[in-house]
Amino acid sequence: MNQIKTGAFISNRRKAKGLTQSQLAEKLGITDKAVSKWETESNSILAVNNVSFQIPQGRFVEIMGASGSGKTTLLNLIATIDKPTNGTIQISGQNIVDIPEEDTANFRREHLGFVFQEYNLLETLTIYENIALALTIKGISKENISPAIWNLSKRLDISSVLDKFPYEVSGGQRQRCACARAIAVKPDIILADEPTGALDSHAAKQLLNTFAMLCREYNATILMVTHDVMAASYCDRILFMQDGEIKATLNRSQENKQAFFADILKKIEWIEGENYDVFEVVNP
Amino acid sequence: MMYLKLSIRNAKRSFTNYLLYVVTMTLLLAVMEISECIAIIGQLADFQAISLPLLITVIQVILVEYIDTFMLKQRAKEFASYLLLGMEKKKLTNLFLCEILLIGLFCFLAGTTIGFAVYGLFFFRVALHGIKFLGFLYGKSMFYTLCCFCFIEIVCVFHLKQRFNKLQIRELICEKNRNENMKNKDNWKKWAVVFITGFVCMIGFVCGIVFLPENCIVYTVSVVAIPLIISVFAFYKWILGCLYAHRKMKSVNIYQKNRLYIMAYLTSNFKTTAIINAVFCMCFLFSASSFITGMLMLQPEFQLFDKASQQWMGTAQISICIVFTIIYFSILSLQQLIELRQDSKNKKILRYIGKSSPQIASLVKQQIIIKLTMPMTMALLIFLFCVPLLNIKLNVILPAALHNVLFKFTGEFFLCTLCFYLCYFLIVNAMSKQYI
Repeated sequence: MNQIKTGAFISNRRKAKGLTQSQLAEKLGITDKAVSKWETESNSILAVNNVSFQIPQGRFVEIMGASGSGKTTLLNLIATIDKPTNGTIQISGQNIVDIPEEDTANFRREHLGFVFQEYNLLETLTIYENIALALTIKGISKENISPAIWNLSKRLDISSVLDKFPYEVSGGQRQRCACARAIAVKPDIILADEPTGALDSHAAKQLLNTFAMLCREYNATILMVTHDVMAASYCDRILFMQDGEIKATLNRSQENKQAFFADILKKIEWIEGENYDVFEVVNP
Repeated sequence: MMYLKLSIRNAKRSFTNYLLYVVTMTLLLAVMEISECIAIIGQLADFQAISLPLLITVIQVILVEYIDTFMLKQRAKEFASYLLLGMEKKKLTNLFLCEILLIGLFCFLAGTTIGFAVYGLFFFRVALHGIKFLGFLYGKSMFYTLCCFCFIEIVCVFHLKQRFNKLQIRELICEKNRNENMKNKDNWKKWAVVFITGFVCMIGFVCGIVFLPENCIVYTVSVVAIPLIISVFAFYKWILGCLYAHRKMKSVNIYQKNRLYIMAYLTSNFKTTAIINAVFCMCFLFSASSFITGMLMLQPEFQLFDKASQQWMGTAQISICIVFTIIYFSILSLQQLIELRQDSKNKKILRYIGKSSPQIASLVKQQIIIKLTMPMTMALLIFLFCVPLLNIKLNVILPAALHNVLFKFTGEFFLCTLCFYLCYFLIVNAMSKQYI
C-alpha cells in the first residue's frame, strides 16, 4: 500500500467535502492527530534506511532478517527492479541508480544473475533450453552454447536431467538449473532471494554447497537473502537487517560451519537483546 | 443440490478460463442455427444444404474437445486439491461435467437466439418462399441445433470423462505444465510421406475435374475432399513434428534471437496444435470457397438458377464466408489473448534474464503473427496449385465475360482477409500490452 498516495487521496476527498481534519476525525470516531498522521508524509515507511556495505568479488554474502526487515526490497534495489529515493548503488564501478529505464534490461543481461525461491523456470523449455535461453539472450555465439551448458551441468550434477522439463525433476534439480542459468552468463553478481525456501533440508544443503562451489571455482559473487540460519552458516559474511537498517555484520574466520552457526545464533540473540525495553525487563 | 451450487459458483469464478469455451460455443451454435435455417429453407426449395450444419458439427466437436482439455489443464491443480481434501473422484468428475453442461446450455440458448436474430436480419428480406411462420422455422431449426448440440456434448463429455478418470492426483498437479512428447522421433517423416501422397492425390483429382470428360467429373468431385482433408491434417502434423524433432536434436540454429522461445511455444503441445491448425485451415478454405461461389452466383452473366434463387444463394454464401472468417480470426485472437495472459509470468522471467520491454513487445507481435497466419499456410499452398487449374476449367464452362474470374475473386478474397487480419492483429496487439 502506498502510504503517500493514500494520504493524498484522503486529504483531497476531505477538502472536496469542505471538512477540516477535526470534523473528519469526529465523523470517523478517531483523533484529529490520527487524521493528520494519515494525510502527512510522516507516516511513510522507509523500507531501506541508511544501508551501506561492500561485497568483494568472489564472496558469498548473506542478508539475514525477519519478514518485513527490508531485505527483499534491498535486493530489488540492487537488481534494478526498484529505484532508491536517494543514495547510490555501484556494481563493477557503475552507478546503477543513474541508468535510464530503457538500459536496465541491458544492465541485467550483462551484469546480473538471479535465483528465486520459486525457481522461475520456463515450463515449456527443458532444463537444457532454460540455460540456453539465458545464453541466447546474452548473445553468446550458438556454437559455444552447447559446450558451456554441458560443462556447467556436469559440475552442478544436472547433466542427467538436461532433456527433462522442470515439472519432471525435483525441486533441488530445478534450483540447480536456475543456478546454472544464473552463472552461465558470467554475471558480476548473482542475486538469490530465499533460494532454499521451497526445498527440503537435503536439497537445500546441496544447493548451498553448490553456491559455495561457484564462489570457489567460478569466482562468482553471490548475494543471498534469507531468514534461514542454516543457510547463513555457508556464507563468508552476514549482514543482519532489521526495520530497514543493518544492525550488525558477522564475518566468517577460519571456523567450521558448526562454529559459525553458533556465532550467528549468538549474534541474533544479541540483536534481539538490544531491542528489549529495559523498563519491560525490569517490570514485566 | 450442494454440487449444483458448487458447480455454479466454480463456473462464475473460472470466468476467464471459460471465456474461450463460451465464445467458441456461442459463435458456432449461432452459425449452426443460421445454417439449419438455410438448410430448412433450402429443403423447401428442393436443394440440399445439409452439409453445412454437418461440417460445423465436426468442427465444433474438435474445437470443443480442445477447449475442454484446455480447461481441464487450467484447473487440474484445483481438482488435485479437492481430491487431497477427500472428495471422491466420481463426484469431482460429475461436478466438472455439470459445470461444462450448464455453461454449454447457456451457450446453446444464447447462440441459437443470436443465430436466429442474425438470420432474420439478413435473410427475411430475400426470403425465398415467403415463409411467414417464424415459429415453425425457429422451432425446427432449434430442434436440429439441439440434436447437434447434444451430439457434440455427449462425444466431448465422454472423452473428457475418460481422460479425467485416468489422471491421478500426482498427474493432476503437473497437468498444467505438461508438455506433449513424441515417442518416435522420426514420426514426422511418416507424416511428410502422408502429406505428399495426399497432396499429390488431391492435385490429381483436381486435374481430373479439369481435364476429364463431363460424365467422369462427378466421381472426382465427390472424393476430392478426402485427400484434401488428409493432406491438410498431415501437413501440420509434419511441420510441427519436424520442428519438435529439430528442437530435440538441439540444432544450433534455434539458439538465436527469439527462435528457441517461439519454437517451444509452438511445439509444447504440438499434437493438439496440429489438429487445431488443421481445423482452422479447413475453416479458411471453406470461407474462401463460399466467397468465390457467392461472388459467382451474384454475377449477372452467370445463370445457373432463376434470378431470385441465385441472388439468395449468392448472399447466403457471402454471409457464410464472412461468418467463417470472423470465427477464424475471433477464436484465434481470443486463444492468443488467453495464452498471453497465462504467459505473463514467463515474460516477467524474460525480463529478469535481460530482455527489454521493446524486445518482449516484438516477441509478442511475432507470436500473434504466427498464431493468425499458421492455419492459412496450407490453404495458400492449396490455392497456389488448385486455383490456376480450376480456372482453366471455368474458362471452358463460363461465358467470355467471366474468363479468369477465379483469379479475380481469389484476389478479392485475400484482400478482404488481409483487412480482417490487420484489424484483428492491431486489436490483439493493443490488448496484449497489459500482459507485457
